[in-house]
Amino acid sequence: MKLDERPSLSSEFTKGIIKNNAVFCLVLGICPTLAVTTSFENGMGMGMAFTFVLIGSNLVISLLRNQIPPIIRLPIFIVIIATFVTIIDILLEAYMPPLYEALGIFVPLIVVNCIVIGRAEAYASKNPVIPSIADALGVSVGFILVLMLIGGIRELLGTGKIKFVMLWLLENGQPGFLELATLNIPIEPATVMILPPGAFFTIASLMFLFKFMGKKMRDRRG
Amino acid sequence: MVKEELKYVALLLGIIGSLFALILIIPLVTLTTILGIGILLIFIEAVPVSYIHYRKHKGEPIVNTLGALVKLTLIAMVAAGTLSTTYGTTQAYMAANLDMVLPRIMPDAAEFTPVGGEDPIYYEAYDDAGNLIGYAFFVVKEGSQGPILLAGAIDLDYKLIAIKVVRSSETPGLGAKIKETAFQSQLLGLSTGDMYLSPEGKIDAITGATISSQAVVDAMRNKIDEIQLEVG
Repeated sequence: MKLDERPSLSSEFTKGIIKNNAVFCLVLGICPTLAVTTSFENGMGMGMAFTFVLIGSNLVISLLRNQIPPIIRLPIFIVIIATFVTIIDILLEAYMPPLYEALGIFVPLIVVNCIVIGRAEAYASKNPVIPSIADALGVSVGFILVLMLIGGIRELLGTGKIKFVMLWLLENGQPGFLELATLNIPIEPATVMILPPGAFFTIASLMFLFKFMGKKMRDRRG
Repeated sequence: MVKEELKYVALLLGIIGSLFALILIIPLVTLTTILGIGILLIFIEAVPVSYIHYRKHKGEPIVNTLGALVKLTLIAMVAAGTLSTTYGTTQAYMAANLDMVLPRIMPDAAEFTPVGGEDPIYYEAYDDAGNLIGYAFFVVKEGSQGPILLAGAIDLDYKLIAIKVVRSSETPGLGAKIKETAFQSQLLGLSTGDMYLSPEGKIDAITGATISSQAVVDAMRNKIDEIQLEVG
C-alpha cells in the first residue's frame, strides 16, 4: 500500500464495530459499560449521549487539527469534549428527565471517557473531517450495540422481561423512549444480574465469546 | 424615549463587558500555569527530544506562547457562548419539569394553589372534591457540594408525608445517598419537634455525609416551621 493511499470510508466505519470494538477488543470505556447497563433502555440512552459527544468532538477537533498547538492539545481536547458533554447533559435534563435521573453521574463522566479522548488523540487530530466522522460513527455504533446487548441480557435475566424501546417523538411532542415490544420469559429472575456483579459476569462471558469467535474465524481464513 | 433606549444599550454593553472579562480571565490564568509548567519541563528536558527536534526542523519556535494563549482563549470563549445559549434555551423546559414534581410526590392532590406571590412559599394541595388535604413545597439549602433543591409534602398535622431530592450535586457514594429511601424514610411521619439528627432527634445521619444529611433535615424542619407560622 502506498503511503498517500487512504483507507476507504466504509472500512473507517466498520473497523470500530467489530475489529476495533472499543469495549470487547480495546477494553476501553468499561466504567459506563459496567455501571449503566442495567436495562436495554439505559444502555441505549447512554450510547446515544456518547454518540453525540463523540461525533461532535471528532468533528470539531478534526476541523481545528491544524490550528491546535501540540503542546496544549490536551487542554483544548478537554474543553471541546466537556462542552459537548455539558450540552447533552443540559438537553437530557430538560427534555428527558427520567433518563437523566437513571444515567446520573455517568453523563458528566463522558468527559473522561477514554474512548472519546482516545479517538481525538489517535484519529481526529490527524485526519480530515469526513473520515473522522465515519470513524466516530463506527466506534459509536460498536459502543451502542455492546451497551444494548449487555443491558438487554442483564434486564432479561435479572427481571425476566425485556422492554424494547426506540428514540422517537412521544405523544406530548417531546423526544422520549417509545415502547416497541416487551418480551417475557418464564424464568425465575436472578436479581444479581441487575446488581454490579451481573455486569462483570455478562461482560466477561461476552468478551470470551467475542475473542473465541474472532480466533476461530481467523483460523478458518488461514 | 431616546434616553430609555440608551440605558438598555449601556446595560447590554456592561453585561457583554463583564462576560468577556470573566471568560478571558479564567483561560488566561489556566494557560499561564500550563505554559509555565510546559516551559519548565522543556528546560529540565522532560519533554520528548523528538518533539523539540521536529519543531526545530520545521523552523518553528518550540512554544508559540502568544499563539497558544490566543487559541485556547478563543476556543474557551466559543465554548462558553455555546453553553450559555444552550442553558438559556432550555430554561423553559426545566421549569416545566419542575411543575411535574409536586403531582408525583403527592398523587392524591388534584390541584396545587401557590401561596406567597411570584416565588411561592408553599402550595395548598386540594383533592378532587376540593378539600384541603395538605401542603407541598420546594426548598433550597446549601449542601456540601452545592445547593440541594428539595420538594416535600406535609399533611394537615404538619407531618412530612413525602420528600424528593429534585436537584443536587452531592458526592456520589456519600452525600448522594440523600436520594435513597433508606435515608428519606426516616423523615417521613415526623413532626418538626423530632426532625433533628440523632442524638437530639430521631434521624441517623448518612455515614461520611453529615453535612448533606444535616442540610436536608434542617431545610425540611425550617420550611415546615415557616409554613406552620404562615398558615397560622
